[in-house]
Amino acid sequence: MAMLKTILGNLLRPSRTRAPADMPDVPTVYRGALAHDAARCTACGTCAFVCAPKAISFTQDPGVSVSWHFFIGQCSFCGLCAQNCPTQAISLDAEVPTGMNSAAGDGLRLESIVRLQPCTRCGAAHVPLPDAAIAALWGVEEAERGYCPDCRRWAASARLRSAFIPAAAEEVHHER
Amino acid sequence: MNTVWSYLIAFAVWPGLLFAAPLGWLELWFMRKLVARLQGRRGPPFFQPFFDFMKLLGKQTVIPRGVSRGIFLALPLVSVGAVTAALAIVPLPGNPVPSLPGDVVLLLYLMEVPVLCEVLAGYVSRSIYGQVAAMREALLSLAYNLPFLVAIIAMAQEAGSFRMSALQAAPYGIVHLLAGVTFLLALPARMKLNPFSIANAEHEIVADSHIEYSGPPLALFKLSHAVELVLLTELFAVVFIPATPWPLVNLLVYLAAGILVLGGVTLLATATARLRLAQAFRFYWVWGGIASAVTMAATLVR
Repeated sequence: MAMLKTILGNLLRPSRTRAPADMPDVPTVYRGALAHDAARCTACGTCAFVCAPKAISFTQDPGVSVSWHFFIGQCSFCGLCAQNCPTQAISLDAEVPTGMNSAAGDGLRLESIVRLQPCTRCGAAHVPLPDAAIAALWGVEEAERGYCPDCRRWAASARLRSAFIPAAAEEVHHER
Repeated sequence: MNTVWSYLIAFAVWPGLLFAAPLGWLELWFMRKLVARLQGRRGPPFFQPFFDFMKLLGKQTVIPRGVSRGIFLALPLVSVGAVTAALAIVPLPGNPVPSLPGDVVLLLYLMEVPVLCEVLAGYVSRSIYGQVAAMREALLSLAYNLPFLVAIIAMAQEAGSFRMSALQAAPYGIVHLLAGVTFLLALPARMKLNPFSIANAEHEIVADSHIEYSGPPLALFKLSHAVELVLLTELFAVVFIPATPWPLVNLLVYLAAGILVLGGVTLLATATARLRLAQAFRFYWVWGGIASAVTMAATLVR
């Protein structure tokens, strides 16, 4: 009789299951599908370093590009990569990953190619800094924007040098 | 020639396959939806039984190694054929088949064929689960057939004839009520519903006796079950619900009665847990036996 009361009560109440259309909202901190933005990546390797199951790795095509690789079969969705990325190039979206891993190991593999650019000063191939970082460091119109890390260091020390020895400022541009 | 055509129409169109299959799917959907609602779930969409059938039709048929191909494929066909033929005999309003002397006996024989097919399917498939299910089904049919057969035979005794039309036209009396209750007693086990869902106990033996079936043959078994639902509910309505002189009203009353019976049986199935085979057997031979004895006594007292 208690069972009858329970099930007849169920009949009068609305259903406890939800249809796909009225699913609850995904929390904003939900860690779902991983996305990588090549335009913001500096190929610093922090993500590959902090990734405990080694789902992220980098390969290089020297002088041309750096490739960021991700294999979902090893990912535990811990979010450390997104948390540690200095330029927010990695994000864990609210969506479900498109292809989860199968027994055959043919799960989703992502590859994101970061093109190297020649330094505007020395011509050495380097990974350009993201626009936001460049704007914060050097301003928008500065000539140092396209410099490689070596040239940036050189330019910084040159600025320091010219601050102490104003006469040396003219010589700087004749080097190299 | 005319008679042949009327039999063909009764088998294929009304009240046969063309009518019984959609009605069976409707009844299946109603039961599944009701069970879901009683359990606080949402339940399947209206066309789900149809979708299930169509999907199974498109699937591959796997025949287990060492199983005779002919009998493996023939069993579902025989099952659907027999249950549809049984439905064609039921004097639903507008049924073109003429009333035969002794068609009640033919009906009872045809209604046993799907059960036999299930038992054979279980044994033929060489699966241990199928064999356990077949054994359970066979034993259970010995139990529930007591009240089931007695309910119909008591009505034949009451009407003094083994014609379905005579059973339908019998003046309403106390025997109708008693035999109706006896019939309802057998119904959950015949429909393989919960307190007696012993042969298709999916938690114990994975599935029922057609566990090795797949694709179109399984679809035919499912169709056979759907038509059997229609047959059982409409048989109950035709025999135990008093008929009115208006065929259309009769039809509506029969359909409503069928849905009502299904609702009651589903309620019982949702509210109860599965019995063991010995318990079910004892239930049918004690309580079913008492109900049968009372029903037969009532026919004789008159």
